[in-house]
Amino acid sequence: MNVQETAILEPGIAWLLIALFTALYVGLGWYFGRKDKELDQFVLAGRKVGLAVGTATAMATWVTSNTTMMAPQLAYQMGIWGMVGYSLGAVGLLLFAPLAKRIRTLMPNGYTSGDFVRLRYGNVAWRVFLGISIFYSFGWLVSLGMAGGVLTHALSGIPYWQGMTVILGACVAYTLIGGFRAVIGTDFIQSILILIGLVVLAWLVIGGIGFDEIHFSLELERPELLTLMMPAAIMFLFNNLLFGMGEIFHSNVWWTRAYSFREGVGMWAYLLAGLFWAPIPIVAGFIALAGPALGTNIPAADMVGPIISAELLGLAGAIIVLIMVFAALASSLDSLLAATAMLVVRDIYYRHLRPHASADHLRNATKVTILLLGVVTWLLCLPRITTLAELLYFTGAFVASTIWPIAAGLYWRRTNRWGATLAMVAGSAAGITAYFQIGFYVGALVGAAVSMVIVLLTTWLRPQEFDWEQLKEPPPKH
Amino acid sequence: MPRSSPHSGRCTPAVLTVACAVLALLLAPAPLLANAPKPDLESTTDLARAGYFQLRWSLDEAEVDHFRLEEATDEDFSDARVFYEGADGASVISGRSNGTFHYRVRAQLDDGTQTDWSETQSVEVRHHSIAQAFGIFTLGGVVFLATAAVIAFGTRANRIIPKDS
Repeated sequence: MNVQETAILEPGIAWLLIALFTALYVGLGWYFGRKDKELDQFVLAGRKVGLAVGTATAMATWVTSNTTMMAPQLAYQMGIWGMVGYSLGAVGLLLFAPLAKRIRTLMPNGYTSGDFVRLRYGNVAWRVFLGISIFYSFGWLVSLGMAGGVLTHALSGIPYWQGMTVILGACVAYTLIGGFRAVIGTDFIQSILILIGLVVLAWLVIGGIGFDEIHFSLELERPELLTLMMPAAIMFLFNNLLFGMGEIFHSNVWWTRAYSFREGVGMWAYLLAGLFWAPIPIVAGFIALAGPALGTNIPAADMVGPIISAELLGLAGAIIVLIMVFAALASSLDSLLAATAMLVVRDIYYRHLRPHASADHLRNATKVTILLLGVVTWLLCLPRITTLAELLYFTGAFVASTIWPIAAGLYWRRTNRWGATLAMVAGSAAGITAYFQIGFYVGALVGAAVSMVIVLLTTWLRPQEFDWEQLKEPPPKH
Repeated sequence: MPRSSPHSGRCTPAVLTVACAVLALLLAPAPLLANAPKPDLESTTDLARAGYFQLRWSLDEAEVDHFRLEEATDEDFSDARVFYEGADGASVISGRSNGTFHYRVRAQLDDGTQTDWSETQSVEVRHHSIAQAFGIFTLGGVVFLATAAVIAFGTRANRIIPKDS
């Protein structure tokens, strides 16, 4: 039986909106990518992205459907600290700003985050890193695909699998057509849609129901959501911050941007994106706290954002949420598809299987990989095994264990390859143990802590002298 | 003394009984469906350490009009309150303080009959200890500050010695 009783939006209207925006994004994808015939242009937009577009793409990619749907979920489950903790994800962007500059300087010809780990730590660490990174990418891809289905189902009653299939298909289509320039170009449009949608929603929620009534209902029905001493939420604060850092520090989504920005742009683009992003989860999360005041039933925690918006604001609210979350979802899904395809093609296919492949061959392989990633993601999304937050935070233990190998590897000559490898393996194992023993709100934190201790100890006990020039690998001769 | 005739317009005990039965049928809540299956009710957890959990319920092989979910802190539901009434098949409960909460659900079918209550589902909310929470919070703070320091000092050092970068 369906868990959702009511839906504000007529399925016909929802399909129409999805069709319109799919046509818009696919059209933009074709327009932005129409001149990209070279491999470097297709995968890195010619390495000439400027500050405005750079800031918009970083912000839009980080405003995922997870931000607009998981921030309300966490606010609904963990209260005030839930949404504040989610907004600490901005710290990852802020701290990546100097890293982006460092990466661009150390590796002017780099393509992927895997390139750095391979050159800095050797093949064993590289393969461990690839395993973590690809696992995380699938976790994120699946959470985005699921969000598409959950969103359309919550707002319009369209069956989960149908909404998920269409939204995923739309994003695969325009990423395939336009390449990385299309991803960046649509991100700019999508970031504007997201910001306008959020401001309108917050204004309507506060004006429509008021702080006093929200506070009164929470105090009566769900008092722990207001307390600043909820233990799980206290643990969640730094967990989310470190999870965000792990996601950004290791993921090829952010490294490709660092490589694609014009020199000198990366640092400022990431700083500005972090500052613009920080208030968004607070606004999105606040909407969920209005739930008890409305007396609305929430069948699944990850549906709370769309349901409350639609319940409170009616048809207009449902339309705004659909457009905004579709934009947020698309802006991340396309980036992730492009960056993961690039990681798979360059680090696995090219480096392991076809070292003599031509640029044309690799360009086609990237397209095929984007399509395959879309198909595999669709298959993994179908069973809807868990909630968005629990799925995504499962990957937290793994990615947080890469923070120290990446940060220390970029700044310290003495961090050694075995220490970095051990840090990723043991950090992941410890984090996942904590995830199951305590809860999803500690996995990343424990993973990062164990990884940090191992990097510090091994750097101190077995220092290695690394020559930074080794990172300046000449570009491949395709 | 005249005897009352069956057609005299006055109610006999038999007529009264039938009328009362019809009235009772009309006014009483929907009747229980004898031997009807009860809804299944389950929780994502029996022990909620973060104060939230999800309840799911369903009733197969019947056309359900709506469900009624009740919550009580007393095991025999003497202090029951309606937590939800509608056609949804699940509900997320969050923000609960420590305690044990009992739930039961029943369905009203399309033909107006009601099923019996489901088996009781009990969930204990027991938050993690504050000491554990602050221990992990402190650990997270240390990791964050140390990482930020590596980046800040590294960036500063590379600005001072350009050849290093």
